[in-house]
Amino acid sequence: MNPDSILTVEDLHLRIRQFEGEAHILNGVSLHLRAGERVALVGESGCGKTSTALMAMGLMNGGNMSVDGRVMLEGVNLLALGERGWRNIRGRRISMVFQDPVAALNPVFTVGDQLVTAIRRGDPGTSRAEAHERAAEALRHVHVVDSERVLASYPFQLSGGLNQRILITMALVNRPRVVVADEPGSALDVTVQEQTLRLMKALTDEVGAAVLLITHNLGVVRKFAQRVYVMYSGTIVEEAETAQLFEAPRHPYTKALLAAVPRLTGEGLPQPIPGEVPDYTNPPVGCRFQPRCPHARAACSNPPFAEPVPGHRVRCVLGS
Amino acid sequence: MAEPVVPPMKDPVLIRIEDLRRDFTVGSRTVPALAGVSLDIRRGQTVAVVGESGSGKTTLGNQILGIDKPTSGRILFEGREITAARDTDMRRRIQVVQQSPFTTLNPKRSLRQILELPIAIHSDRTRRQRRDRVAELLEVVGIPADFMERHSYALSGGQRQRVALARALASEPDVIVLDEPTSSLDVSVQARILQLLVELQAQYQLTYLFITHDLSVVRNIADEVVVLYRGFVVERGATAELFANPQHRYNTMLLSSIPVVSEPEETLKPSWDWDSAVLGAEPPVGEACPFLPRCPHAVALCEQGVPPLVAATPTHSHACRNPRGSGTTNHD
Repeated sequence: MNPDSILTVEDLHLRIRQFEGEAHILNGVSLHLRAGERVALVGESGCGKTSTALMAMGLMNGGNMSVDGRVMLEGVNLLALGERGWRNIRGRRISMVFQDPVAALNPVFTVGDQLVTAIRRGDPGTSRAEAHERAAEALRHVHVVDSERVLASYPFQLSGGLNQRILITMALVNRPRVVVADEPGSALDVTVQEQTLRLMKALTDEVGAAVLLITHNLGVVRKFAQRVYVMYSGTIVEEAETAQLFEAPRHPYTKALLAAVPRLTGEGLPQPIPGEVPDYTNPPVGCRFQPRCPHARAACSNPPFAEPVPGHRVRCVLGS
Repeated sequence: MAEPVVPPMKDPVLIRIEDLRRDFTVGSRTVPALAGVSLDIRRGQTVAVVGESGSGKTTLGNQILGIDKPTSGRILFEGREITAARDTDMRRRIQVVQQSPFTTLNPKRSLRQILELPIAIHSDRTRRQRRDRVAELLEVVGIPADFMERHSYALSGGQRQRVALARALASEPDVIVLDEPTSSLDVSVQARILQLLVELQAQYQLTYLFITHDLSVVRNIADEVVVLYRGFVVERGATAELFANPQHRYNTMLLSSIPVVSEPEETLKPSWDWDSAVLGAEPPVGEACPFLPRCPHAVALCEQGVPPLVAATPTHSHACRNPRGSGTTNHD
């Protein structure tokens, strides 16, 4: 697909058999990250963005699921890996920052135990003492002043912002090529979220890791990402450089989503999107946004993925 | 200031809060969740209370609701003191909508049962009349009346929050405390709930205490904003003024961290020197301003505690020793 991309998701389908029928959760998702690139996957709850992230981490499998497509990390198809294969990849080549830092850390081990484990997992030759020294150094590097006290603490004894810093440190300590960040900082206050995003930016730059940022917050996308994929009901509906997407959104869903965001300019209440998210067991044929779209027409049953501007692609009959 | 000198808020005061203090004991320490808050809420207004977690905003809401009692201070409703005790009618007049509609509706009850309870408590309607009233309330919040026998788990997040609103409206209140009413919802759903809130306010002359950390929402829905930091009111004012001209350094930091989606919005945000921003939010030492450990603009006086609110304009005041407008720093 893209020769210089480090992570590529190709035509990913995820179907989950449920009591109500088979839910087609991911409907042909394709995306890629170039080395060191910060890319956002944005959409509302239930659109499949976290499913995509978990698939890329090998954390989504169950007897009731069927998967098609490929997730390629540096030439390796992650979907074909067994648990043994994943051990050399997860946490080393690709790692994850979860949304709720307190829930993501283990409450019965100290921060130090968990960081040391992560470091020794990445570099098995390291002694515990060396790993401890590296953990302390890594924390000082993210401006944690009192690193020894923090290492000796349990996660619940520390603030949410500090836990988030620890989680980011842990995700990057083995210098992975790709970090998947699922709503980092969104469980925290805006001031802490701002600091979290700044830290993520600085650290991933330094390590040279690419970031796949999963978020529902368009403001966070604009602040953090260089390129954006907009997802609706299991489908990528639009992709563009960040500035391009915010200046000239093309898909009716992207436009509607932007209009639903309250503005600091204080121009009054935002515009809701009429209708409901479609049922995944019986979604509309073709564009899944058409029941809610003011521009819906017959051709929507088979929308093209047009590229009106190089790098700006939109899955819509009005796209070009 | 270009703003009008005449205070625009001439509606009568509905709720007056006087020097309210609420101390919690954590281990051997006493932590003031509210450290002497005074506030007037005028009838028909939307007053937003903003601040980070732990700032005391929910504690303030709980005091107004009577769920929790203050350590000292008074709460007056139409001039009548309601601090220590309140009768059924008083409770009827102040209602609440909480953050997560997934945990605030009883999953074992039907919508009819959920909505009938406050009607039964606060009116002497017959069974049939109560049922009609439930149907009416559901229609008011945009849920078909024939959903009455359904349970909350069959509803989406937005629909559940509508039911929570209907429950608050069931007793025909004057005031609704909205505690993060849209923060667990998607933006497209949030937009609808906000519209509904504004419509209901006009229809029933409601007064809202809107507790939130989402400042972009506040900008578009509130008449007045109160910024809390660790139990202190650090700034308050008419919404447009407080956003256009933040005074307290904490408010400045808060406004500058709002994620926005357009360039015009970006230019409205005050600047903040994030590199010099102090990280650990350690509790303050002694009497000092609680924001001191995080403030790059602190001066020696800040050690002496939070000053009383100073009026920057008749409709905008702050409690900062070195406010943003003062020009005594090169960080602006």
